[in-house]
Amino acid sequence: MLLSVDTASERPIYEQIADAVRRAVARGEILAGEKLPPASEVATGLDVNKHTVLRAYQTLRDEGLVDLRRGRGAVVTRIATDVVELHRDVEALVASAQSLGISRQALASLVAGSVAPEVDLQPSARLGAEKEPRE
Amino acid sequence: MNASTSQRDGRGDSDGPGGIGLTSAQRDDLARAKRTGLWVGLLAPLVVITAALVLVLVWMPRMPNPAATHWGGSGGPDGFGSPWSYVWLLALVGYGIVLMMWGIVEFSSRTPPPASERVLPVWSGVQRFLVAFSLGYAAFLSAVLLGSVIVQLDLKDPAQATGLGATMSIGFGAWVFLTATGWFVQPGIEVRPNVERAVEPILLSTTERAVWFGVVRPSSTFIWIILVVVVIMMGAWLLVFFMPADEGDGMAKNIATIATGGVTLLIVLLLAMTTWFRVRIDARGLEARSALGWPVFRLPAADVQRVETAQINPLGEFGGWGLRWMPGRFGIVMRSGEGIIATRSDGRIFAITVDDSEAAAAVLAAVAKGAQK
Repeated sequence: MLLSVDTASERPIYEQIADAVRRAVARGEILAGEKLPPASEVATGLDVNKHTVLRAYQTLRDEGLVDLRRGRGAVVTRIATDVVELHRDVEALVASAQSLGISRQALASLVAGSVAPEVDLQPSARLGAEKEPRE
Repeated sequence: MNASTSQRDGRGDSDGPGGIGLTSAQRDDLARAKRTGLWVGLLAPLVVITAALVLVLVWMPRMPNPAATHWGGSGGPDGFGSPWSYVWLLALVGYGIVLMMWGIVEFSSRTPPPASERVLPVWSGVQRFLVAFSLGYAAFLSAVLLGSVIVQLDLKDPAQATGLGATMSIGFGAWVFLTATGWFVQPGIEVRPNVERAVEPILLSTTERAVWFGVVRPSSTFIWIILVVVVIMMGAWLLVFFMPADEGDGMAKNIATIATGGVTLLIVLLLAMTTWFRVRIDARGLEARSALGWPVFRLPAADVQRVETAQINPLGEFGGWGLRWMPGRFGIVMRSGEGIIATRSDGRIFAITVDDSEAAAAVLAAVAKGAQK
């Protein structure tokens, strides 16, 4: 799985790491039941503090995407499967928006506006909304 | 015998239209290397074995029957059988191994079809070494078997045959000497398909950092083989453990139990150490760490000259699975299929089988580029 951060970005590093994991999950690079790399490894690889990585993992745990257990590491939960499907839907949505000539920003605000308040805090909905048009 | 010092860079010869396959100069090089290889690695060994075979046949009437066929550590022979076993041994183990080795050389050095995904050299120190080794091996086998025959010529009782110390020394000496000779009489040619499919590095701005994580894991077939081996070893150990000891033989049984248990443990440990690896690619380069934490293999980013993805064939290109050292190349190759092939600045190759190799190679290419700045 590929994880990347941009130190020049205003988004906090731990959020960027969480984003990168979400993207990797969405792309199917890491599947439900698989372990995320140990925080120390990610910290070495990205040259950041280990606690930053742990904070990212905690964020992901809070939204239910990973299970953090002492001695077992961070295991991706079954939500990942749904996220992959959602990602496919998002890709389709972006593609059809593109063919209609609707800009990404316009689409993003459409998506943001269509979110019903009662599902606002559902993990998958949050993931969809937070996905940055980065690539 | 350091291959990299004697390798000539095949890519320097490219005069073709910077495309796929081999240039005409490379084809000539390959033909020349193969021609020498054929003489050194196939015809010469066959001649050596045939000569030994003829000698054994000529001496057959002077051999005791039964003849001594096995020598123990104590000096004299401790196993006896038909004198014809020498003929069968030479024919099967001699011709058999030499033909098999040439088969590997021939198979691995076929001219790749255009548009093939072959990235590894079709001829390099690997083939050169196999050819030389084949010659040394033929000499060793012939010397040892002839020596064993000579010490029992005209004997009534094969048990009177002397030890094989001198024969073994001569045999090993011949092996080393002829392998070295076989290596040096061959031209140091490296023919590498001129494929321009170096991967596109991922774009990283100066403020961006990327890391790629992956694993090296064996194919399911390999896991089954490992399981079968481990089960057999455990079975042998249990068998020894529960075997009723003869009277006064408890000591021997204890030793046997400990030895089989120790060997089983050692094999399990070795397999665990060399079969599963966690791979991390970051600004430092590539690091492959065994699932047990040791050993660790590193490929520094600054040492990476180019990176490609390829379909890797462990048996054909590395002579087997696992950690493979061959002249001019090192591989952590646990299954057939996709992987990364990185060329170091001195031309040596580092190969590793990972899933999602495109992304891995793209990151490695990016950090290699970054390290060269």
